Amino acid sequence: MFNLTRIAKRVAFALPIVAWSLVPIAVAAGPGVPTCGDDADAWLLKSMRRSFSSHVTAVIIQRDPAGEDQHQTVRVERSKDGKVHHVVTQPLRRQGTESVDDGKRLRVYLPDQNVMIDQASPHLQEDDAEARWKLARKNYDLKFGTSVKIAGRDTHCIVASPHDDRMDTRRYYVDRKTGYPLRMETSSPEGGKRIIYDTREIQFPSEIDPERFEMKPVGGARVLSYDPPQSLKAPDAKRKLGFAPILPPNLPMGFKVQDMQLTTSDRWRALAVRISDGLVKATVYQWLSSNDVKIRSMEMGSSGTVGDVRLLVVSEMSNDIRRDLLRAFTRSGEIGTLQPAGWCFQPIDPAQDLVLTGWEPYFSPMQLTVLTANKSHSGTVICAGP
Amino acid sequence: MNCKAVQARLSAYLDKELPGNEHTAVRAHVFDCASCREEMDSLATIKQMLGRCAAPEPAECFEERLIANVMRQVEPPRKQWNFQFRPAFTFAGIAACSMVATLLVLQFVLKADSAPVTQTTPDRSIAFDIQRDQIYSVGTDPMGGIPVINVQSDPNR
Repeated sequence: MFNLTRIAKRVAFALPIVAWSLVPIAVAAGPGVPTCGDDADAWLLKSMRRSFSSHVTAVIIQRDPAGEDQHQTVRVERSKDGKVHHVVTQPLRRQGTESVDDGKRLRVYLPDQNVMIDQASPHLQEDDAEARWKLARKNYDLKFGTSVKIAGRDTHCIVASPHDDRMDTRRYYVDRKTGYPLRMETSSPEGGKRIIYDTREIQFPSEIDPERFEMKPVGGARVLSYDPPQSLKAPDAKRKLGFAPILPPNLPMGFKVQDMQLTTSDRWRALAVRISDGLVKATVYQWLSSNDVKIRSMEMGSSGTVGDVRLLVVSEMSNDIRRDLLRAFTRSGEIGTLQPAGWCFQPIDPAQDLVLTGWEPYFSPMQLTVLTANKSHSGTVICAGP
Repeated sequence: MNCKAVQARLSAYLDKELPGNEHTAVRAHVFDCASCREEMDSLATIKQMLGRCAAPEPAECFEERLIANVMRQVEPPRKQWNFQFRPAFTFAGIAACSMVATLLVLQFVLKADSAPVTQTTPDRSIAFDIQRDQIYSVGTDPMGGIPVINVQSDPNR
């Protein structure tokens, strides 16, 4: 019997590899491209953009999802035209997990299950680097930090200090000549530091074997193929999912909604609301609770329910931040179910986290007493309308 | 982390074998401590010099001999069957055939029952779907961190 739970675990292990596969895509131009001068903002944008100018082979270590202080070693090959190949070489329990992204399809092979996941390449999505960069500049102070040498390469250290003190400070070490990201570290507000990935060896070869970017199922590997999520507009979402999507007008910590996508499988049909603060990304899944599916306990997920809609926030951020984001969505959903027809409530004062919690009729039919609250107090406001 | 602890880890630090937190702690210490930095530089020099030493070459035909040895051990010894028609063999043969036939019939009969069971009690966990979707999702935000999901066992199952 095909054990989806075990496959899910293996996919969890494969995620960082795939995530890393996307980092090189963010590589800015190679040697010979105009430099960014002394502007940390410009270096960050250079590293966020999807541009390809040289082949790359590298060996990296990367935070292991199975353990806070454990790392896995991954061999990375990237061609100039954006194709990426990764193989996990350590630890032994992950060895041989492999992914190939040829720019059209992304294939992940899980050797223990002899399964190949075949789905659309993330590279087919529109490059939103500039929009995210603008958002990052709003939410973070970007400046140069102390540079170090990594894998024999001189680097620029870009320190992104968040305006919201709940968020982590992020340090990106990028190659001084090419803009290639060599190391990423985070520091939590409590002072805990984590190395998310680090480069042990790197080369920029002039040639790379094209066969490195081909993966075909062999030895009876079972192939699981999936369609990519489709972008949706709010009215379409309601029609296709059976509920109005919950989209708070304001999110905490400077997060913004980037996109809404419909993701489907034979078990599940959900709306995936992609949100970001420019540097960190999260997805808020929404689906009808009548769709009887189980959320296994996830280290990286926080879930809730509003009326008939189930919500799940998935992100690498801390539990507290995920819960804050979830709270913003659940509040927005509750207001949506409370508000009388024709009225459209907005948060009263997002700066003070003051939101609507309910409403009552006032003396006039054209007025409402709106109940508001934040963490420290509650109150009422008289609103006219609609 | 004090100097003693740092110096015990310098070799692993230079080889990038330390876990993330220790790696960061050693780096921070070496940055401030001249004595440890000197020790690290000296160790790095030794490692570099050792790295330049030529690796010993295997003897000629080593590869062929290795493969031949491995293959000899992998190939199972061929059994010499000395099959003779005996009453015991006849009985065992009939018993084996009837067992296989029974199993085939059972499999055929149970097949019809097994399908509805799969439909009524499928694996309803969405962990796999979420992880697959996250693989796709990270593509739009390569510098936005790594959306790692670590599925734990479900206490309700």
